Amino acid sequence: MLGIMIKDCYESFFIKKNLIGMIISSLCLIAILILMKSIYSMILIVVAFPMIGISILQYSMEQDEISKYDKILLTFPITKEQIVQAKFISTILFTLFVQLCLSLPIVCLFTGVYHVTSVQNSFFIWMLGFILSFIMNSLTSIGFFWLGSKKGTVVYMIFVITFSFAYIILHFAFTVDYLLSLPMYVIIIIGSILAIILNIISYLICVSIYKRKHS
Amino acid sequence: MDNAIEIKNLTKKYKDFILEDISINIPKGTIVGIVGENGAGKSTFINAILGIVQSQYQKLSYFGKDFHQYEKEIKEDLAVIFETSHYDVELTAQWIDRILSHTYRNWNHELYLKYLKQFDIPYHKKLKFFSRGMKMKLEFAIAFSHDAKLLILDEATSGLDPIIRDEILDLIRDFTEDENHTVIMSSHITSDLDKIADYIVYIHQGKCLFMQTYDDMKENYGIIHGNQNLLDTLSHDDIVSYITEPYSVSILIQNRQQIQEIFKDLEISRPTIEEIMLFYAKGVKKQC
Repeated sequence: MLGIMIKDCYESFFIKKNLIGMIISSLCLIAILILMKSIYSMILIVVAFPMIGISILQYSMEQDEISKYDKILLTFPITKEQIVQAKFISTILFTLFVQLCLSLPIVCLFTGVYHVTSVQNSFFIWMLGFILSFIMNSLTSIGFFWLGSKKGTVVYMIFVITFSFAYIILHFAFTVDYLLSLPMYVIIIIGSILAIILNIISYLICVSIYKRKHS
Repeated sequence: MDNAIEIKNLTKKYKDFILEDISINIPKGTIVGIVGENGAGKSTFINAILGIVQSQYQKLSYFGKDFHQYEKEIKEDLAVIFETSHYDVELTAQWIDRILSHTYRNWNHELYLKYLKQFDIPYHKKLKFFSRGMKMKLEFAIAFSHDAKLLILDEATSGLDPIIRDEILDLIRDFTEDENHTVIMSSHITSDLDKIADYIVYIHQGKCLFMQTYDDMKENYGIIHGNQNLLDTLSHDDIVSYITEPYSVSILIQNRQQIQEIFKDLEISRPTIEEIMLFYAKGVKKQC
């Protein structure tokens, strides 16, 4: 399983075109970070940044499709369940990395330097980004396993657009203060449970899709 | 003799193709060539025994272990080389080393480096800069670096020049010097199998027509070029099939030695695997 994760990691960070793609999307978010110093941009960055966690799955699947890597992979001493598990773990680990190493410093910057909101509210927004990215991973993973890297990316974009619209609607319908006055602990606990359940369901669906593809 | 693989009634059904009831035992320490025309089912057979595609079977065991139950354990002892390399061309031999050292329990880094040196394969260069021959040699370096007991080659020598092919045949011969090492090799280039195969399995239209030792095939089969009268003279039991040409008839016979004793002046040539394949695929079986 670790072998697959090492390969996926290499394909995401050591192949020039994938690395450039990741740097460009990060630069776009950093530009927002510099230009917009409001709580809205903080929410946008903190929620959107961890969503690039799924790109490790997209890049590795794209490379696997080009080289038809699955054919040799299935001759290795590894089960189909473990292959899917490895892809899920890679995505989760990368999402965690983005969350802790990129998203958290941004939250600290907006709170400590820009003073856009309180520490408690920042923590809630950060946690919300965490949960939303895991929910997003669970949904888009099915798209990638089912439709492959190209069509899976379309599914991913549809989800991103849907999330963006939801954000805009929330922005116009309610004030941030109102949203932050909601019982955040309850929202985070329910959101976390939902993210865990969705990831388990997603994993089971992806295993069955993968098995079906190789039957 | 112990068997490396035992297969009983293996069937794989597609909408437009059926690999039907293949039952063969592959003895340990042998090189088994799988022949058949395009679309005969050779690759389907290999994919089925490797579990790459799901198939139905009464028995599929490797080294006495049931495949379904011990798939992971069995695959530690397998090395598979396909017609084209399926490793990402952006990878280097070094990264493959890193990946496979975390994949195979018995991965031997030192041995891998030794083979890379022997085959003159660069450690840090990306695969996209490798020639086809280099990629194939890298596959062999990988195959030999995790103590595989069974090497499966699916058209692995296709598209390679004769010199590289010859080197690869030498590698296969060296591998089977250990009596516990077995090789299954499907190939269109039957001349390669003529050089190294101990057994030949012939798959035709999804069915296994025969599995015979190469020596038996060479001893028993014969080709006679004659005319219609000769064809009528021969017993239909001795004739495998015949091909009618404009001014003659080519006949593939079995029981070559007995026939030679009866027809002492008759010129009977020993067929190659390719010729036997052609007769089975295109020839006509003499009717009673």
